Amino acid sequence: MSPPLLEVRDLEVAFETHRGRVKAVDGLSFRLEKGEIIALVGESGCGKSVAVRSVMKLLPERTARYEAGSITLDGKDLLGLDDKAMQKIRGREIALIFQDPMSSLNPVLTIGQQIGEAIKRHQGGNRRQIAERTIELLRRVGIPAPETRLNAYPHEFSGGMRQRVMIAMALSCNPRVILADEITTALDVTIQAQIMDLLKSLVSSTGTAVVMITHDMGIVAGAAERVYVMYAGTVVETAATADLFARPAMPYTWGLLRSIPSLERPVDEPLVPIEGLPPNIAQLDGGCRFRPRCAYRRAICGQSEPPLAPAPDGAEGHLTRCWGFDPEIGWLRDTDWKKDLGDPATMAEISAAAAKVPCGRS
Amino acid sequence: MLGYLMRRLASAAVVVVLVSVIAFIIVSVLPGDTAAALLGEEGARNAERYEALRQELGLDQPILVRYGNWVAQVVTGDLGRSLRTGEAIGPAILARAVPTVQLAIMALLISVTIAIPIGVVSAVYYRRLPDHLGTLFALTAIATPGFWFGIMLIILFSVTLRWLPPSGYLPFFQDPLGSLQLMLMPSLALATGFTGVLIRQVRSSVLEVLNEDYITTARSKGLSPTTVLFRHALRNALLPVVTLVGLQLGALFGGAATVETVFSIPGLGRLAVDSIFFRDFTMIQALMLVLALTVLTASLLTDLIYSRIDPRIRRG
Ligand SMILES: Nc1ncnc2c1ncn2[C@@H]1O[C@H](COP(=O)(O)OP(=O)(O)OP(=O)(O)O)[C@@H](O)[C@H]1O
Ligand code: SF4
Ligand SMILES: [Mg+2]
Repeated sequence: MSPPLLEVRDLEVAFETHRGRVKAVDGLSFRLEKGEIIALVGESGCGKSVAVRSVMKLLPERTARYEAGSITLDGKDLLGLDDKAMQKIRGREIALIFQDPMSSLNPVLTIGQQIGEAIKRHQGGNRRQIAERTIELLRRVGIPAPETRLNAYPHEFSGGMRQRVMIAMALSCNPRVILADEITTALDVTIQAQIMDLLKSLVSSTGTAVVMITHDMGIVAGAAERVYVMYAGTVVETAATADLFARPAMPYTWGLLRSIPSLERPVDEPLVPIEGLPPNIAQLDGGCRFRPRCAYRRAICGQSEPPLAPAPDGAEGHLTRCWGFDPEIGWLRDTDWKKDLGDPATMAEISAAAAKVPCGRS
Repeated sequence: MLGYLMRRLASAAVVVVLVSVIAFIIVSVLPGDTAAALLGEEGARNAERYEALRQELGLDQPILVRYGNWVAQVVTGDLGRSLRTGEAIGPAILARAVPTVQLAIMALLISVTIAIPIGVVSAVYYRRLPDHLGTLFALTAIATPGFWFGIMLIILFSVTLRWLPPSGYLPFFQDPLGSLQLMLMPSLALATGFTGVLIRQVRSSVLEVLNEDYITTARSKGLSPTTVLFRHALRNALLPVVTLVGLQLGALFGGAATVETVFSIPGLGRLAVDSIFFRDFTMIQALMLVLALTVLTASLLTDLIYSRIDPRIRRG
């Protein structure tokens, strides 16, 4: 079997800060095949952006430490490469699209210059060829009258148009992998769908594989073939998208699914947010990392961290990190997550603990 | 753009009027007057001669009348005559402006050429040895009084090493090389404080820009660190620096007063100091007017340059 296109294995990343070492990614693994779209889903701060920036080695060199694990592209190790070698990968093999199209384009360079420099760097060509290629890219991402827009500056475009420019830039050198870090979060709801559709149609026509970062389960359902649910720096459940939505097997995933706003839901029925705050990864105690917020927890959950193991009733490749789904001792296998919200006494405890935390994390 | 320019000019006019009023008030509340200064301590005791001179100079009239007369004169383009020397003020200021402008330009050039590279290196090597050295240099420069540094330069290069003439002035167009040589030490002395401030500004501005998302975007395209720095970071980082340079021009003229005194340069700064000593009202007022105009012109120019390099303003 050939190696996966992109594979991250047991990755651990920490930052040196003035308050000490902060772990942001803690044993993360995922794999991406050619032409596949996968999604990394999780709450703010669970390490999604750090994970994708690690793949490109774009974390601040002074403070970021890759402490364990490996990242390979076509079986070739990336973590060991020096910056010169990484420059040949960035933009050409792997491209990155950011969350905020307002701040991710340089305000003093024209978009023609900004797309053109990537082409020039990796594919060369004279001015005219580069301009032609840029115009073609802009046309493909749906910028009207692209010939006239080459010399325009980012501030002359709307947010949605800028994100199209970013997509054109990412596609400019036909990369094999696109990392899309919450590319629709900063946009209007109506534009979000357009941008997602655009990205999907472009990658399906070019065969580019995509790692989509999001905290929006709705986007996942519409775009990804496989989902990795991240919590506190690691994967807590992964499955093919249909399988995950049909048979989620982890209380945190249940929480995420319950919080999707849906059309069928009566307007007066409240969304169910996940109670409590994400943990500080530095203070993990060896038990299940979701335990402080889990209304289904039992004694064993505090004794050791559950392994990422096959979900007993899931399809092939459905893994979960929860003692409740252990083939022998699991007590959640028959739980109907839509009706049973967990033990009421435990829920009250969680609410009380959450209320004690002042505002945000200290 | 034209409308913007008109608005700027209108507000500049208001500033000039305000400055002239303030100048007038300050000069009139200063103890002593020109007559006393001209006659000296001995002469001023002779009440008759003192009163006669006051009348002759027009100092006996009420302040409002004097201001009115002065304004009426100035708007016709005539700055009047120096109370002290009797020479026409316009040509006198023009002649003294030449050395000061040369001094200011040289000091600015020195500051900018020293500060930008040091500031950029400091930022790129944030909290490493080059940054510590750059910061030490900047703080030393800020803390060094220009006149003291000037004297140290004279002692080192003129007295001990005998490489440079200690003081004096040669017009640039008469002997360019000699003029540059003479002005080198004064410009260095004038440049010290500003160089330090500029290094700090460049450093913090580059640091800030290097944290921007578009820098990560640039790196994610596979551009080399040098391209990212020069093409993407520097232009953005230098925007606030342009403003600072423009704003500092007025302060530079203030510094010129001491430096010109130390190096015996017949410039505007020296002229201002002398005029204040002799309560040369007409000259002081004219000088303040000229200074105000210079600062306003500098800030207008700064804005124009800024709008050339920042596309968000150019068309907005
Ligand atoms: N440069 C850094 N220095 C120190 N800590 C960092 C740095 N970058 C990220 N972190 C920390 O790493 C953790 C994960 O951050 P990350 O940005 O990956 O979250 P995320 O999942 O992308 O969240 P969001 O949805 O808000 O984008 C956070 O706790 C954050 O404070
Ligand atoms: S292991 Fe326990 S605490 Fe963790 S998610 Fe499963 S039931 Fe909840
Ligand atoms: Mg993020």
